[in-house]
Amino acid sequence: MKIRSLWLTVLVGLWLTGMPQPAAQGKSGREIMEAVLHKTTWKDLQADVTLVLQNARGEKRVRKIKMYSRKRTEDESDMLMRFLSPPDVRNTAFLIIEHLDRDDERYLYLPALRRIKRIASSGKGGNFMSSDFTYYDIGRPKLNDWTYRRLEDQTLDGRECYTIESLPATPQISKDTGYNKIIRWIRKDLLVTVQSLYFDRGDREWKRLTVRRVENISGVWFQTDLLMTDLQTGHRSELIFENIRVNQNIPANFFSVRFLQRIR
Amino acid sequence: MKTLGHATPTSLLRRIGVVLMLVPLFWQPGRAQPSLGGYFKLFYHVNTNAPYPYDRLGSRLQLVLTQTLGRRAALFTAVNFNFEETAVTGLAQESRARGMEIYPVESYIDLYFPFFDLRLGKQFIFWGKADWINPTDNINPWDYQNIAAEIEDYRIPVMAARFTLYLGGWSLEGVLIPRFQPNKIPIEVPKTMGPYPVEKLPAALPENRLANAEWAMKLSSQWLGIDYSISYFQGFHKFPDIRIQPRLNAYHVPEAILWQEQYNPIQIIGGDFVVTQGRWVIKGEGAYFRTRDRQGRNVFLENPFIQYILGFDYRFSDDLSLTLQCSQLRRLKYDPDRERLMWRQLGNPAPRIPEPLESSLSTRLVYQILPYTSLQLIGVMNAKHRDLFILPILYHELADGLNVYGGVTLFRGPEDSPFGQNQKYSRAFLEIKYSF
Repeated sequence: MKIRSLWLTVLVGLWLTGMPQPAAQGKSGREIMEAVLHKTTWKDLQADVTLVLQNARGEKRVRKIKMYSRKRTEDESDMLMRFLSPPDVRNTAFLIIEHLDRDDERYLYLPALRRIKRIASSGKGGNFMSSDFTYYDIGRPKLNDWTYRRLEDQTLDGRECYTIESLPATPQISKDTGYNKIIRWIRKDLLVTVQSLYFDRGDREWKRLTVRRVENISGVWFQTDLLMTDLQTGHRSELIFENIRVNQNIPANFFSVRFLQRIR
Repeated sequence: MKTLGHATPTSLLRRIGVVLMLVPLFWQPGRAQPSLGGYFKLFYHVNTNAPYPYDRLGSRLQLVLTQTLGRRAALFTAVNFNFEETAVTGLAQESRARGMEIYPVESYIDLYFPFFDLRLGKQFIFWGKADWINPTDNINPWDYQNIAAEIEDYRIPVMAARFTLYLGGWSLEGVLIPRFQPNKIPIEVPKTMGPYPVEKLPAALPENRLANAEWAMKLSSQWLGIDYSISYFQGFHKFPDIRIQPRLNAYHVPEAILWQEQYNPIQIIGGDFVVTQGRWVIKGEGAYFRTRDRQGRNVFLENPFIQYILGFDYRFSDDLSLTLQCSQLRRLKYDPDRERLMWRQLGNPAPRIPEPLESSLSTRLVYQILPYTSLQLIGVMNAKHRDLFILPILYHELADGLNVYGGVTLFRGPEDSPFGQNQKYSRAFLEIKYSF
């Protein structure tokens, strides 16, 4: 199994979207997205993550991960992930130290090799752990990378939603992400994305993200059960977060190579 | 010096090892639950060169027991139950016994303190930031007869005490290895040298006493995003020097040549660095090997040398990454003509004299062919003779935890070249492994 990178902002990107702001009702698409990306209140958190991959024939692969994260500064975070299963990659661990002014530091501990390796970025368009989520999908989007257009509001599963169309601001963004267009359905009451439709560079429908569960934990809204379906291949990936705990005062030195290879 | 036949591990080390293996079985710390895992695999290794049709066929159960003891300690034990249906046959060193063998792979206790960690027991300690060739990686010996997919097959764990001290952005690592272990290398002894028969004496290993304990230190830090370290190792060279001398009869006339492998002291000063830039990882590593023959005057001893590596990783995509490295080994105070002349005087008309400068290119390619199928290709080529070592391995994940993989360890090149002389050890392998 491949260990993929760029998890650093997973929690602030897809499933962490701030407090409800009813005042956004009359705003433009960009203003709504700005509100969605509003900063959150947690300092550190830990969670159990399950990633289920399923191909069109129904064959499944399950990966379980223990994840820890903390905000080092307003815009920089650290993350440590440890694989719990499948057993052949158990105790494989991954550390990302994010930097604003230079490349992130990424370290991978491979228990089979008993080594910690410093690894390079793999780009945002790549798939995360062979799943249908790309690094871009699970990362924190940059507001200025896209232009936004508010479409007609819709109701999804009985919930009022804003519908926002995002177009890449430059051809390079389209090339990097692989997307020509993204349409998001954002719950008005929570300002949480509950569905997204991704279009490939040929402007064909490519993937659909369905958020199956949203939970409020310690005052922060989390998308805790996500399903990404590749509409072209039938492959699907579920990302499930459990036992989320925030502000546990995880020590700063926990996010270091020292703790990568520890058994506990 | 003590001969190989009489060298035995100290009983103290044995006892420590046994205790470390057994402690997790009896420990009842209350809250912490032991975790039992491991794997079972079937393996089939076939030699690609006649007259050695195959060399390994068997199965292995590895049990891994981990136990955290509160927040300050943890135990780790991995034990192999290895069954070989077929022994190595016909090779220079027939080291693998047929039948069942039970042995610990690693067994250690970790102790965690606020500013330092301590690991005691049988363990692997790998240093160096380069890939595959690491001049600073001198603690665990290699088993060159058994290069395959799993590192525990071709690296040999050592009983050691290892501490790591953390001070701000610095870490200082220290290792003490009480007992020396050499590399396992297939060395073929010539039957005659000139008109004389050759008699092989038992290898001379360092005497098993505390004064001969090996130790090493490494200081690591980061500067401007560059991870770097400097290290020092003091111990014994894991490659032997070959001592050759005539055996004289009662009339002081040579009647045979005595051949002996000797393991001599060495000090190694090294350093390494790694930095990333986008999809690139730039890395380098080098070391100075201060051998016993510091002035290069003794033909039987290896000269001091330096070895350095510079290379990069490039990640084309999540599915494809490439590592490319250039390395050089430069022998110091070395005159090959003089060495050749001295060997001829000893009756060896065509001695293998190493080059003053050896350059090589190494590569690793990792390609995810399909969602659960990947290919890894490791290759090393020496510039002088264009001799090669190639290790392609194809992995396929049948289900969660169930993998099948196969590959080839291939040595090619002129007979007197470093890899060419190992051609007879080329082999293909196929393994099925279930992890639990």
